[in-house]
Amino acid sequence: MLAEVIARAGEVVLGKERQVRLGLACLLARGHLLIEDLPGVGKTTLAHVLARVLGLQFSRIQFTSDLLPADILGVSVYQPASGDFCFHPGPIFAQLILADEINRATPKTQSALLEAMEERQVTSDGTTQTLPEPFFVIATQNPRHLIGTFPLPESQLDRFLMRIRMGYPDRQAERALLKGRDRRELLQTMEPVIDGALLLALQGAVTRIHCSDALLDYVQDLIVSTRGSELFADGLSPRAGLALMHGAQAWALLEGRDMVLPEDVQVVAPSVMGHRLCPAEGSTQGSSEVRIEELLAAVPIP
Amino acid sequence: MMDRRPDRLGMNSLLLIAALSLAPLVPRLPAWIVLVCAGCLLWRFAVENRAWPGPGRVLRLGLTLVVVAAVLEYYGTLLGRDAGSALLASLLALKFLEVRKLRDCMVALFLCYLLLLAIFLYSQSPAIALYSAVVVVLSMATLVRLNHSTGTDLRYALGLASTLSLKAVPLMLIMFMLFPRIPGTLWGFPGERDGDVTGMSEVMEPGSVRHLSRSYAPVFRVEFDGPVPARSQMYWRALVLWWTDGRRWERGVTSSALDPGLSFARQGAPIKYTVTLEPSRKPWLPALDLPIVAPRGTRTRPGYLLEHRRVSRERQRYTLVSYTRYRTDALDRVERELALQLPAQLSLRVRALARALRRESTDDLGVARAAMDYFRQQPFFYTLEPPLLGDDPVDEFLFSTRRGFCGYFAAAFVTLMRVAGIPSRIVQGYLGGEYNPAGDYWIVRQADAHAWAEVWLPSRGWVRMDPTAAVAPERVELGIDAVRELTLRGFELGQLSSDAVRRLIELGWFAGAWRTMRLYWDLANLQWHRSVLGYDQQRQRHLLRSLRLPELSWRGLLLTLALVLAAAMLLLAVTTRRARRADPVQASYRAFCRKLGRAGIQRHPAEGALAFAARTVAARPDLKASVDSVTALYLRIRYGGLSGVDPVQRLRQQVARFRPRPARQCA
Repeated sequence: MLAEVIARAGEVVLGKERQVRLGLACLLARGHLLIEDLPGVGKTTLAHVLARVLGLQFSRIQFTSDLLPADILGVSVYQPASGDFCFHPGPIFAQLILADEINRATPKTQSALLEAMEERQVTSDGTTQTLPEPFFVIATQNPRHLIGTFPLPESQLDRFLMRIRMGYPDRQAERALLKGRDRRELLQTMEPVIDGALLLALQGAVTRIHCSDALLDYVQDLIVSTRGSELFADGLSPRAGLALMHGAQAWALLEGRDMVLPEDVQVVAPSVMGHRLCPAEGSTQGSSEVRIEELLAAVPIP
Repeated sequence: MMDRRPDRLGMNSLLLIAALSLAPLVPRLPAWIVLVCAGCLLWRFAVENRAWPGPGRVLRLGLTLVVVAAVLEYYGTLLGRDAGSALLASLLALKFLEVRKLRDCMVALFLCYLLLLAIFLYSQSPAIALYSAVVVVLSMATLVRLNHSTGTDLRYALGLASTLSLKAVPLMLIMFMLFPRIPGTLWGFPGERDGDVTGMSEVMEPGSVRHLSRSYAPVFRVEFDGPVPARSQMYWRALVLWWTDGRRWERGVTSSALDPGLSFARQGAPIKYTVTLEPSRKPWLPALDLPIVAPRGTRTRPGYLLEHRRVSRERQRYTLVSYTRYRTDALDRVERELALQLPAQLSLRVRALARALRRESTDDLGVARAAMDYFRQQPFFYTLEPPLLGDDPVDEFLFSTRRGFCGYFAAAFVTLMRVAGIPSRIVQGYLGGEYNPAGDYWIVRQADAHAWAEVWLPSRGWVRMDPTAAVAPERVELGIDAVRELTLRGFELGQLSSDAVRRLIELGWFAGAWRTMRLYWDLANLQWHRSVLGYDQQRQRHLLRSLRLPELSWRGLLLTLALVLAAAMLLLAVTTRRARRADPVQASYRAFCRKLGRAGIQRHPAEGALAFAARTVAARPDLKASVDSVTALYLRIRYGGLSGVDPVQRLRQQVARFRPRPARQCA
């Protein structure tokens, strides 16, 4: 069933199975996903596809520098007929939110979204509104063209379980893309593979994937190694450790296993750790993902 | 943890250990204690396996009190070796009536260890040591079994116990070398009655040597340094008997009355030899006729005898020098009187025979030879099962029964000589011995006990006369084993020609092999005693000196020992810490990776098992089945929470069976 989800998504997002899987794993682990790459590589398509195949309510918010929190959360509007204030829910009241170019908005607006992501509820004018279940945010961010943007601070980045990069498609995939139908059209024809209830059940199953002591040893070894490493400015937080474990659990489920293996940790580690680890001052070579691969190669599996 | 109840298998193995620990003590314990022990163990066995009811609290308390009281009544004390081990044995057995929890099992098991230690108070033979070692390993396995979860199988427990024991061996050796020795033996236990050390007594009566002839226990062992006398010349003298009442023969003489010197005229070459004497409660030290010096720690006794100054329970070694050809000095008055002493009544027939012998020759030697001829020519028979003799044994033996062994002949001969006026006496000791070619030494056993006569001739002094040799030369030439063999087959010595005897006693293949084995076992025993039990204070000092270690006092030695032990424990702690990290599952998987490494596929330390398996299969598709199987099982145990002994063993077996052929070299 999950394989079918991946296969269907792969029909649209060509040659990006790894990214599709990671995105799916992120959602299964009840995490939010940050996609960082240049425009036009399929970030939005990926979010769309996930929403379609999982049968989720989809809502897209294009972030701009003049976007206000109320534009996301919704506003209370005076109703002359009844004389009451009535809450008009904003676009955030959907199961899957695509927050496009999140770094274009002001910090105030960003934090409104991020707060909602963390609390899974919205408080406006003293009333608290619960967000629908399941609730995912897929945010995209353009790493270039930093003029007029507000890069997310580290504390905010931590709210995202994973950060993935799309990357260019390989030659074969690109050719298929060029030859094939329009992606938008394809999206419209996609039928959901699973529904919301099943998705919730799968999320529950993720937490029951077995993590043995030996695996926790390995996770701890990894975390400890980032704390003393010269490659990174700071080490991973305990929350990052939890994120790593949840991500690995979700990956194991995707692999059809009932236990987490060190390989699962290794697969999700670059995505989970990449945005949480700043390169140390003076070390400039390589992206954070490359550095994390180095780290993984250096920490033996106990 | 300690409140856990042991399962049936654990309990049964504990019962087995208890039975094994009790077994060597059984011959040393009174029968009723053995019965109590067997009863308790069987009851427990039935409770465990046949769902019998266990004893109540009152019954248990009552039984314990009764048994303790009975031991006290039987031995008169609760202390000491015999009473102590009896008490320990019965209390161990009684403990089983209340064993319920793991804690009780531990107590019972440690009592077993204590009992195994108690056995060494009785015997320190290599057989006992080996037996104890085996039981210790088994009990350790039981300990493992009891402490582990119920899933542990016995094979695993035994393996672990054996490994632990092997690891303890170096520590044991260090302890053996360095533990301060007190002067004396390690296990010497003074002042105990000792039923098993039999020996010749100072009184000879008809039939008194007979119980010795059945005993196979070694009395002493001899290594000759230089020429070895013929077996028929190996007369080991231990005792001289002078006084008789017609039936009993005794020393009957105060030592002050006679000259205890060893002076005599020596002829021929000296014979040097070393005697290793088994512990006995008798003071005498057997020496070849006749010794010339008394070694240290011994003194001389009248009749060219050697005696210990102090009776010792330890094995002792003496170096002696003897001359088998000698001429002794003149008799003094007291000696002559004693050597001519006769019982109050003596039958007329005996006196008549003596007179007849006297008339045969003018000199004493001729008379003695005539007496020897009398024994040779008349139908006398040598037998180990002679008929019983009445009030006048000499008369009955000489004229009616005419069947007997050494003591009978010696007594009759000496009596005749004395009646004929020739000073004579009986010498008790041992004749011959068994040669052990494995260790080049002779074993003299209780069965080799012998009695012969000595007559005093004016021209030659004391001369040995062995009337047994006249009747049964086989006894002298072939040894007691041959005699026994013949007697068992219903022959009496004196009937057969010596060729027939030789043919008869020729050993079959099996008996020969058995004898060789026995001799090797004796050698092993001797070496054990020399190198293990004989490792005393002096040899410890010697060893330390040869290791160029400073000579240490008691305190220094103990301190060294403590330091060595501390170091050993530290080492142990470090190694076990490492071992904990490398649990059996990991060890198996590492072995698997090593095998693949030899086949050309190395696993990186940070490479997951699954990734490694995928890479391996990609490189070597022929190994797919076994690699996948091992990897899946390993992952399931290590990361999938699969526990228990069985999967671990399965993994070990699979890895053991995994033998990848090296990759074919690509041209």
